[in-house]
Amino acid sequence: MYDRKMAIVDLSKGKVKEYTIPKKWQRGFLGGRGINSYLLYNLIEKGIDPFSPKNVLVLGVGPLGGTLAPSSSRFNASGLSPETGILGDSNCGGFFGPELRFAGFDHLVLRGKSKKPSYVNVQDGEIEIRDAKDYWGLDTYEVQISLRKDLGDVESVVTGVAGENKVRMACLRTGVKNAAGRCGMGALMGSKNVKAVVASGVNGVKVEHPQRMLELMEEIKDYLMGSKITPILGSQGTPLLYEVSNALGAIRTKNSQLNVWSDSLNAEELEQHVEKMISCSSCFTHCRHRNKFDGEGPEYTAVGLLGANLGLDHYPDIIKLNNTCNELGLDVSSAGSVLGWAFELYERGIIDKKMTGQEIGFGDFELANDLLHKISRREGFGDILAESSQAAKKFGPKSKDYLIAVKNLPQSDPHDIRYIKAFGLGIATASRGADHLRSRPTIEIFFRLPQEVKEQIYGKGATTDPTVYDGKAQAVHFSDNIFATIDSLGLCKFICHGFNSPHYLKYEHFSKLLYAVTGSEFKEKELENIGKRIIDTERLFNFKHGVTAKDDTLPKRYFDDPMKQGVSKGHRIERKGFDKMKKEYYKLRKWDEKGRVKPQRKKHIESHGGLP
Amino acid sequence: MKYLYYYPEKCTGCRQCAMACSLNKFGECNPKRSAISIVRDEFERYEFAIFCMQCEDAPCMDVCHSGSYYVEDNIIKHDDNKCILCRLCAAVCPHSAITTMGKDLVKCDLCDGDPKCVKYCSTEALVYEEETKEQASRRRELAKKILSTS
Amino acid sequence: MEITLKLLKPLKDAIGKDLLTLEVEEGTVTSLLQHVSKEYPELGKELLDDKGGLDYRVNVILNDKPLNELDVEVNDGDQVTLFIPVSGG
Repeated sequence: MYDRKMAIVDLSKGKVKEYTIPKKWQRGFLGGRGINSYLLYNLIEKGIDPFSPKNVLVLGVGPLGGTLAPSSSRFNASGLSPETGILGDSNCGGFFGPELRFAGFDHLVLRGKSKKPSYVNVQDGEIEIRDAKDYWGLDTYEVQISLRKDLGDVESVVTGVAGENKVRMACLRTGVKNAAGRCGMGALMGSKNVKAVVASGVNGVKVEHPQRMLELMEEIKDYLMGSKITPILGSQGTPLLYEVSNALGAIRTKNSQLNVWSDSLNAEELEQHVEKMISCSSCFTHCRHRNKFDGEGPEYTAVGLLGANLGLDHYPDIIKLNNTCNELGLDVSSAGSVLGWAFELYERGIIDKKMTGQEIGFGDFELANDLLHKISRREGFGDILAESSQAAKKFGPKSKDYLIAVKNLPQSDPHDIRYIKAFGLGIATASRGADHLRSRPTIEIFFRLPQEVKEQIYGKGATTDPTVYDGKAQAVHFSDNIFATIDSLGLCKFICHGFNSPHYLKYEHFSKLLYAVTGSEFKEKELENIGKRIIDTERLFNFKHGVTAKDDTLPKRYFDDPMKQGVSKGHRIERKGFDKMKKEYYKLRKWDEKGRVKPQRKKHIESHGGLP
Repeated sequence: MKYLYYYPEKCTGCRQCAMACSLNKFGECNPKRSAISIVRDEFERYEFAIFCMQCEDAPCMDVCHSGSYYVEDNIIKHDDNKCILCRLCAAVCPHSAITTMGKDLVKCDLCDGDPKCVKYCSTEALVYEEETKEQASRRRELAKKILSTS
Repeated sequence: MEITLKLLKPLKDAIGKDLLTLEVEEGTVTSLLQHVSKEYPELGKELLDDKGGLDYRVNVILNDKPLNELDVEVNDGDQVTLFIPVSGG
């Protein structure tokens, strides 16, 4: 295993300390999300405010990041979340992750708080805290363009106007659209008085077995390109899923009051607004749209949450809202969820004009766009919405019944989970709150997958009917583990087993890729165990910060209100069935009945040691 | 004679061509230490590949005074042992296709007829083809495009 | 009897339309799909696996009911929806 470096940048003291990442950490957590989560567990004290200088923001790349490995563009941004008060962790594509490695570092910890607006420059193994007064106040596009103008070919991860104003759902942005979107990592960066982390390096990532890697990648490319799913994602991108979810009657519509929405948002309607499909670093799939409105996107998430969830059905409007979020540095998922929530509360009279300052409601593009701007500047009613789910403090206790969030994180994807039960268990137990990118067992949507294939993937007892509660813990357990491993390798979930297709990259491929790149052997079972270890580490972190088993739950509406339309009409999550799934899931995780990691296991995790 | 051809409209900017090239030539993944470079800017909204066009009347060969360049099987190749790293070839190359970095100078040699960059391109933005064949298919595409839009 | 077949993307691209009205004899979803695959070979390529069965990645909804098993009778006036699920973020 070769040396990989990390650094702690103390913004209060203006000092930088470099470390070699301990071999034990690499072995136990790989990198990326894994090492990030372990760092958070070690570095963040109990009881601190997320905006306290004592919080840290960690950026981390995995051991396959920035190589020929497919879609190896990803990095994770992690910290105590300003949006939820628990684990904040967000995975992001683009070109920054690889560049951070080229610049010489795999993990970067920002701690403390800078006295004045600053940015952190990482170049060819040197780290410097620099003055950012010329960049403060710029939107995410402007700041990146300015940094390139001043510094040359650099890749930056930046916070926008929203993050500067500590909007709790502010994201980090790199490039036009790539986001470490979830959990308010942009607000965290802003709270540290940091505008950007900039990377550039002339050195590449050394590969232990280059010829082996080249041969392996020929096979992997053929394997991926041979899938039915790859060309679909490459031509339509994720918006294709809108039509699929709609056909199932599972599109979150008007804050989940409805579950079917307009065909006018089908992916084919988007085509006329797209100039070209483009990629992140090292990606064969190219699922991103360069749109004709001077931006990139939208993803399915934006189509659903800025479209159906806000009662909008005109594609250009949705693309514009998507671009607005991108420029301001707002998380699309939280922004769309919180706006939909507020609109329903207003309809129901739970909040009124005295608070909102104007009439608000679904189906109004201008209003939504204006509110996004107000949120980012914390202006008027925007100041309350900027609190994300914590706005419930202002909206009153009744408002919580209509909030589509778990552990204070608004649900990430536009999929109404009342029909496919395993999706429900997934967002209820995910370590960062309601989020599909932690554990969604998407293969559940393949309704005709034979029982034996399903058991082969998810383990014994997995069931084929998506609407029953039996055998769903297995599906979530499997997905949780493999997603954690993928996030720690530096790869994108889109090309990995369990997320999009039963035929994408599995542990055996990860093992081969790791050997080619690092020269270290990781057995398949060991890689799965790393995923499990990461989940347990995140669980320990969350329990340290106040989470208990009762937080592994779902929005009230998903339990109590049956779906109203289409295929899924009449479906809801029954509490008894849910509790059964949850209990089985804890058992598979070897947690106790209160959902706690057992002391022996805690000892094992802590045995990986503190900072060197 | 087979050459490398590039179709920018098909290029997604993923840089796998450069990753493969640097891996093959230097044992590292480094899009900057590669014989093919993807120049891209998401804000200016473009991606473009730069590589050696194998000029018939090659300025790099003309200006090299250490005799590092030679032609083999119609491919212009570079002999690292003879090179004094004056970087003049890189300066005069009309395509900016010669990459120098530290003690390395890299110029495309078409991987002895098996260019790695082409192998890992997923959209056929890069192809390695007989020039007559490439021209024929390019013209056919153009004809179809003009006739269908007129 | 008359059956409507609804195709989502990318299946609809195979034949260039998203709705097909079919005049078929009595039978099951399986026989219906075999019939369609023969009538529209381009669509058949997308629907069938190597062994000639319906690829398990293709989802089938009969009227409002997703099917796990395809040996289900179809009746006059039924709508059958076909799609390939993908995921995203």
